[in-house]
Amino acid sequence: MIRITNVRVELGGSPVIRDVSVEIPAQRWLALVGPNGAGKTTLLRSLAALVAYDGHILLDDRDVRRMRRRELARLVAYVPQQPQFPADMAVGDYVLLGRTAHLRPLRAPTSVDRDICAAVLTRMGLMTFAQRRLGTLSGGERQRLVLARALAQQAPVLLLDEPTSALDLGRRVDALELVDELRLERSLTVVSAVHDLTLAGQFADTLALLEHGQLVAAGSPTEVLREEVLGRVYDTTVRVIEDAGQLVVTSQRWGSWAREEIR
Amino acid sequence: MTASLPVRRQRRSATPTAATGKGSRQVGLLPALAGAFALLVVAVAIGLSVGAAGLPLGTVWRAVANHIPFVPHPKVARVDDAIVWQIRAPRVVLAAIVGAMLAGGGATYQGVFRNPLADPYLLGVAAGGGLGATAIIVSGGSTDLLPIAAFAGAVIAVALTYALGSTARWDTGVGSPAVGNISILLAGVAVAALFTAMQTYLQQQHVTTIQEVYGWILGQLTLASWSDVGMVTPYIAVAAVVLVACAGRLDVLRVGEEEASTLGIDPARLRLILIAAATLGTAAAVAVSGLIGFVGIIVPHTVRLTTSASYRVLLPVSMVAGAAFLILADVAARTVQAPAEIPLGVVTAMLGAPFFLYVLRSRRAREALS
Repeated sequence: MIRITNVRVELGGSPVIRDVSVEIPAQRWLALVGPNGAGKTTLLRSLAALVAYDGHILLDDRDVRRMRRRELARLVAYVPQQPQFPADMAVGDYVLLGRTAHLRPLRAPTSVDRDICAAVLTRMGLMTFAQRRLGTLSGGERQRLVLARALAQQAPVLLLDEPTSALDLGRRVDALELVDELRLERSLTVVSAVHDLTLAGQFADTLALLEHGQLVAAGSPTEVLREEVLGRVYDTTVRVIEDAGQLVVTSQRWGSWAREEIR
Repeated sequence: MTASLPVRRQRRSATPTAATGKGSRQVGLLPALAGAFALLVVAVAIGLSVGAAGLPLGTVWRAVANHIPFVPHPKVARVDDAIVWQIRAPRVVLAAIVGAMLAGGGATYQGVFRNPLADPYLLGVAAGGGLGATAIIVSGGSTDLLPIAAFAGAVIAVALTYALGSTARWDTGVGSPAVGNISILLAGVAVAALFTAMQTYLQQQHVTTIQEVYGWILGQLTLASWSDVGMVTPYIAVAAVVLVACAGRLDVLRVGEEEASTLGIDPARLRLILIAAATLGTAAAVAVSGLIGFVGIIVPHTVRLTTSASYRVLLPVSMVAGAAFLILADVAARTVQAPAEIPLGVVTAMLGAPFFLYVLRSRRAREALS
């Protein structure tokens, strides 16, 4: 269980997150949604203790700020929006970085660590790439690889910042299906920042809609993905269509009739 | 579970294929270390054998054997023994220790600052050591004090850089005010400029000693003795152990400080430990050898390009290769214009400058700098 209570973050003197409170039950998927600048990434970074904040973030009743980095990395794996991939690092070595928090001080990875990484690479379909250098991988392969590194951490909480931003539509669905399968397989709690509202509604159990750093709505996809709320928050005309039991969120283009009316 | 990631020593046999990646060029720690040690053995043999006295190889080896416990001690003329053991051997050993430290320090700074062009003098060791040495030379102080003053100057300069750099606050724009590499680097530039200006001022005020000051600045091992070896070994040994022990952590830093912290590293603490160890060792090296440039850049990059970019391999192998390189450079320094000696810093720079340009133009440097 992750409990976020009255969290407030200021960057450069300006509030970016304002008194956000939300609870995420274990093994569930919470998607943070909202327009650009709403504070999705900052809230995720707060969960990873990467930014200073007021309020409380408790992970199983333990304050994440009070944990040592090594301890937190065993509980929370974070996939940033733009991970860094040293071009000359081998894929296998990159995934082994995920074992850092499990290594004994000043010790090299053991055969157990290598086995765990090999299993993760196999699960992600990347084992044949183990000795390739990162500079030779495609965007989709990199996306899976950074997920593999996070899984190698064996942390029960997975934070994903726009995990599919670099992928085409087909690969986006594949990647999120994979996250969902892994969540169920490994009993993970997933918190992700997602731009695509349709995908967020299809995969997450709960959505938290942010606007200007404030929590505007939280609940199931049907509770949050409502035309009037989204239209106001995104400042555009939004259609929410139910199709085969799933919600599809689209924006409506300003047609020539609208332009005429403005004139 | 049957699958496992291959350990590094198995990689050399891996054939680069479409699956393994074209040019993956990863050499494991053991083969790379074996190669570097082989080079070191050859360098030591050349270093002990080559000199003005023109001693036969057999005499050299008998003189060496005379000082190795638990082996038969053959007869050697006292003068030959003195040439080999009192003149050449300490010089070779000191060159090895200094070369290892400079190469290890360079590799460490390149990892900590994620900058392929960083060298062990980056944070003011050279400027501080130079000021300390110059102060002793121009004041006519005992030459025994010169290494102590150079060591103290180097340590003070880096401590000042770190203190000023780490108290500067930067708003990263994405999080809380962070202490960053940039502020430390900029503080290093400022401190080095200040110390260099003070050294230049002292130099200009005492022009009669300018040749002596330049002799020290350009680096030399002419007066190397076993007492020098004994003096620097504890510092450099401690530094080397810390750097090699932290090599795996440097690999984690390669993905950036923020990602490294989410993987379980405390980047600021690691940086402090590595800078402290590298400074301690480099300052000790500078104290006995003066300022020998380029070793910290040439050697790690050569190792990186020929073995592996992983610091678990790069750091220890660079130290062994650095030892071999400086022994050979010193042989060149004392033989090319014998009986005169070329300053060691000139030899390493003449080899290093073209290599430096090559590194600057390399794809890897561009990737790392981008």
